[in-house]
Amino acid sequence: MPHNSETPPGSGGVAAGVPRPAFSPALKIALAFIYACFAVSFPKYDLAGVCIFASLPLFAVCAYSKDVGRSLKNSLAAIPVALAIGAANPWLDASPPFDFGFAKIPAGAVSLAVLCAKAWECAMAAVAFSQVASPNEMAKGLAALGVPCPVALQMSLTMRYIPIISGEAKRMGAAYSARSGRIGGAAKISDWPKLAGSLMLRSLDRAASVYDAMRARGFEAKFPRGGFSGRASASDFIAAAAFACVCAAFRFLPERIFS
Amino acid sequence: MHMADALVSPAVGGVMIAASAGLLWNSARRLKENFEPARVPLMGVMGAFVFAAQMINFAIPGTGSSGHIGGGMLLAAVLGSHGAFIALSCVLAIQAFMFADGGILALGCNIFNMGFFPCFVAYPLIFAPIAGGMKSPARIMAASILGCVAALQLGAFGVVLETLCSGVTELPFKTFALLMQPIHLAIGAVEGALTGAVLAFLKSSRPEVFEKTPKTPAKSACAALMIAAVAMAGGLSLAASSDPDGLEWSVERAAKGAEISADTPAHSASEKIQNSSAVLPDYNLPGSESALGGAAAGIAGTFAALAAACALGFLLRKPDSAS
Repeated sequence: MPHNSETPPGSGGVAAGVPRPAFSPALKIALAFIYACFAVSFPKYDLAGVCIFASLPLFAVCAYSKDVGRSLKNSLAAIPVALAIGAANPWLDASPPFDFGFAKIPAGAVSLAVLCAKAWECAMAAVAFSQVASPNEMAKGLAALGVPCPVALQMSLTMRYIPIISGEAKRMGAAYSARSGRIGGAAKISDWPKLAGSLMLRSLDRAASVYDAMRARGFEAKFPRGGFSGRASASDFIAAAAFACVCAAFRFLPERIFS
Repeated sequence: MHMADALVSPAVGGVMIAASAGLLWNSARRLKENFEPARVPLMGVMGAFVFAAQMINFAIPGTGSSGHIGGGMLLAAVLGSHGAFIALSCVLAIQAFMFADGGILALGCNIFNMGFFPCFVAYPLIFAPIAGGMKSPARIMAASILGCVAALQLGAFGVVLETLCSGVTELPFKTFALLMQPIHLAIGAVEGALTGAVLAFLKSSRPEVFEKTPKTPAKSACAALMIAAVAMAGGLSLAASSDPDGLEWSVERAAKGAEISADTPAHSASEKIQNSSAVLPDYNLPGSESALGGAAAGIAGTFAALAAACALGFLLRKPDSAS
């Protein structure tokens, strides 16, 4: 799993003291989605356009992340998948090669590079999103975008439990390493079910105690009416449209200027 | 099996987001209908458990690499189809937005491939009938292995179709499928064995957990499968590439552009029969070359295949069941 387990999900990877943009949560989700849509819409050989387009999330990461290097490293996680899927392109793509002056590059190699660049910049958009929005904001944003209430409630609960259960998993892993001498390594496949089973039992106990606590605080077993927050506002729509225009300019203008 | 954004086109990503959103909306509706307050924290904790369990990697013997479980079948066995689908969708959304693991545009594809197939196909149609009320560890193990293998095979096939429809790989369909399916056969067997072991462990220590698992009738599983088939036939066909498939491409290259014809009496006769019997020639409505016509033809073909399967099932049913 490529995610960084050292970053507590509750913090969203945001460094203390780094200001967040004052956008609504729904708008932040919409911006990430719009960016991803434009990023994948580039033609398969448009390497220059894709590279220019990467400047947008790069700017967001540089502006809002304390540890830029680590954020960029996290965004590289998507490249192996793209490499695996496009590995055959240099051999199977029958299009004429591109003449870069110093060398002729097979069209398939260019399309593979574009695929990897797209994967990287889309992952970087997600990393940028995680820098500017907390997990709670994400749940609120999805609810404002019309996600059904049980799903938003479930997401909110899951995000509260992830740091707790992940911490439990880490402690169990450390205890296992101390007993077995497999420091930092993966568990033996024969030991895994007992480890996961024990973690599951602890999770179930945690769920029972949380439910008791919720009842003690007056939990009425009703989904909140109208979701968790209001609908996306008009200013959100205007800002999303403006961002879509910026993306469209990055997407189409270089093509017209350089052709 | 997390797909990155770069592997899907906006059209394919949009269709799959719509399909997954529909399933999510339906699951939320069903959950509200059969709402049990005690299951609210359980669902949240189980979602977090799957997230955390993916952090405990296991060493794959002889390869030097490690893996982790997907968790769809495990969740379905504890929470039922609808609860598991919602929990898994939330985990995938958190992974996509907060950890850049799987794409934002590809979220619909990932929810469909990793959530729909285990929760709505493998669990009600394979796991539940074989496990038979989780009576013995052997049945649990067999059900888990078969269920996980089927879910992963279907999920991997979904990845192949979505990637090819997006036009990002030059691999022909057959080669791509032959690369993906066997790898996921092995992964599915390992995941199934581990899921079975965890469920057997849970059954022996907390049997009461499974007593409240909501049952998914096979009827609704079939309905979900039908909706998926129609979405793929009608929706994805709009985004399908018009380029020749692997076989056509090979034949074109082998013939170097020359027209290939076979003017024997047998060929002429078979062509006549085909022309008169083909109600949807070239996967389109007669006389139409539009994409919408292709989508309509895809949906019609899906219903025709369903009718043929029902007719076959009716003919092959046991005589005593007729009465």
